[in-house]
Amino acid sequence: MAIIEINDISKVYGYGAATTVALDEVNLSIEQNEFVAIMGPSGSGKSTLMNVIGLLDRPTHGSYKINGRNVEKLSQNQRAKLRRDRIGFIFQSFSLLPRLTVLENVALPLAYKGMSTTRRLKAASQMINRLGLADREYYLPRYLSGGQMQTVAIARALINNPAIIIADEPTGNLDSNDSRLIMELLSDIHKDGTTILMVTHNPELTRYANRVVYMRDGMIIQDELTALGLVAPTARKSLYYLPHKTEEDDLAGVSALMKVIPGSDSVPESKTGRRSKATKKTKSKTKRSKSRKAKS
Amino acid sequence: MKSFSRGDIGVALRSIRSSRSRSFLTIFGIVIGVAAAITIVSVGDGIKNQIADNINNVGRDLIIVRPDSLQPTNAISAIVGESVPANASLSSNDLKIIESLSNVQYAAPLGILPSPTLKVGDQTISGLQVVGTTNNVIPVLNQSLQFGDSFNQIGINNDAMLGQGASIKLFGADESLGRTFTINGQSLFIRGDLSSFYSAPLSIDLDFNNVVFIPYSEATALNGGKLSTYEILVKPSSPGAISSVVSEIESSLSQARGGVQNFSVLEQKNSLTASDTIVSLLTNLIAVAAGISLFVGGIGIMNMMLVTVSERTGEIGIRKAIGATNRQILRQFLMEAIMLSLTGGVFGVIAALLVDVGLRIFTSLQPTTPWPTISLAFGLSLAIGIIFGMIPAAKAARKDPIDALRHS
Ligand SMILES: Nc1ncnc2c1ncn2[C@@H]1O[C@H](COP(=O)(O)OP(=O)(O)OP(=O)(O)O)[C@@H](O)[C@H]1O
Ligand SMILES: [Mg+2]
Repeated sequence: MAIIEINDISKVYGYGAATTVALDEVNLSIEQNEFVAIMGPSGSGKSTLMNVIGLLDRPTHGSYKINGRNVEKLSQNQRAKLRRDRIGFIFQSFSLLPRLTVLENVALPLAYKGMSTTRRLKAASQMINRLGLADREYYLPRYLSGGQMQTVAIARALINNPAIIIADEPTGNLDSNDSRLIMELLSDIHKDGTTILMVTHNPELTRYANRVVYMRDGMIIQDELTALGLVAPTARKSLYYLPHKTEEDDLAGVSALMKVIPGSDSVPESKTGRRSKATKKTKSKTKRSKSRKAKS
Repeated sequence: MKSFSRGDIGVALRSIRSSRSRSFLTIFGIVIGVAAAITIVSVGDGIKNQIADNINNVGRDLIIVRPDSLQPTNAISAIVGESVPANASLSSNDLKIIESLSNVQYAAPLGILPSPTLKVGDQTISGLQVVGTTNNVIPVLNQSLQFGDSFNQIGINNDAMLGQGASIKLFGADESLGRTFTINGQSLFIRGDLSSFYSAPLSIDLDFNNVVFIPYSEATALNGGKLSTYEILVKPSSPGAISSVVSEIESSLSQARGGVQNFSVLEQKNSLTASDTIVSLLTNLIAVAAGISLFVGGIGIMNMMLVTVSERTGEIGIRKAIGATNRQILRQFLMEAIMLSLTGGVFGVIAALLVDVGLRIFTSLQPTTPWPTISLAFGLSLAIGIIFGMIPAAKAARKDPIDALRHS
């Protein structure tokens, strides 16, 4: 049985003229222990999908099952408990509580479970140790490097031994060294049997995934299986266009990527200017079509 | 709701500390409210106790006969002492009637000499009252002489006995035996110094410590041969005889007046009630003011918590993402509000105790801070924390996790 099963999920923001369709009848089924990379241009609905899957957000329509159990009708309270026990979040901005030490940050989900202070600090300490940050336990987050902060966030996500890890651009704010560190960590977690969903703009990172889902305009436009250790075939095509040194390069890479995906006829906007005239034309076309959509 | 854990308290205290000056100001509002409330109640209780002590001192069996026209018209004039009109209706005959009653042990008239001029040598002394009376005033008031003797019964009449305050005002010492001074030009000789009278603030009786006692006949002479009797103090032969003496006085005096009852016979329990009424009135008034300041303090807490909640929206989002339920978020912020107001309560109680000590040292007030008052203050600050913390905490709990996360 699929651990995550989504049927015709839509998410619509706003009313009347200001309506945005963030998710447009998305279907997705994810098996236990898959490592799914989610790619797509900015605004394509990746984060919205992650938030719906992570029970932070409710879809406007559609059905959602975790382990075969319908969850779209659960109360806020029940959803919070499922988040606590089954799902671990990792965000681009690390999202640590600035006034709590590393140890306390990691222990926090256990506090919401009602575990005693001594027990949860001990468990948190073990987890931090496992991820190699033992000497930073009593630091406040602001004294850590980006890679260390994200490691702490991962420790916190893992503390309840969740079935699903949702990582929304976990390396978005990291340099390439730290990115590699974090990806190796996620890879280890994957090997331990955890299901991972990761949003990324970097085609290189699809090496760690065994499945890549491409999104656009709130829809899944391609879904391919890929071998661990190799850049996914579709994503690889975009690698030939540009070098990948910075986040901006990555975004440009995504733009290039969209060109090679069958059925996608235009390229989304990108912050880099390193593109052909032809690409620029399609970009403005995209913008126009987007605003038209927003008005409808 | 599950009970608060030590961890909750720790988290709350830490976030209070992290915005120190804002928390301090908020707590300060509660401190003032709590301190004011406790001080008012304890000063009020203290005064009631002092008045009761005062009455126990002169004896619970003291009976006071006053002309009706002398009755204080209201509480305020009683305090200010505007209660001596010219046409008094008690006479020396009334005194004789009372003294002749079988169950009366002593009776002493008190006549206040209107606007006396007291001089020691050339120096005028103000702030004292001159009362004409008889030697019976001493046993009637359960008093004793500290030094000297009572009025000389025979011979010349220009004797005086001084209350302690009067002695100090006139001569700068509490012993003034044998010294002389003048009232309205008439020279007087001090035969006795009375022991200190117990005096309570806000009492509606004369402050005997600041009285110069002279013989009734002398006072009459100094006032041009006519002196109205302010009151007649009566001591029954036994405490059990109080009510029978009261009714005998009432019947015999009105009989002497041909049935007109233009006087009142007061027992101590009446004057105790009167004083209590005044004190309670004042206490209640100021307690209302203290209540208002507590309310304002509560608004301060609510304001601070609303700011805190909106500043920490990102934190709320993170906490929800990792599995905090709405109830747990509510609990966290409610706890913070309660910690603020309870801290205010603790310092308020400490402040009130310090103020009480100060009042005891620097004034004649004897505030009593009873435990019920202190626990009431804690209960009140707890209640304020809960009431005024609830709205911000509920606001925090209701935040949408996605919207909240966008702030982090
Ligand atoms: N709260 C909201 N109110 C209105 N529109 C929203 C809201 N959240 C998201 N959207 C819109 O929904 C669409 C999808 O947004 P989403 O954040 O899921 O994109 P994304 O793929 O994660 O983009 P990025 O790569 O920039 O993170 C966008 O058009 C966005 O503007
Ligand atoms: Mg996103």
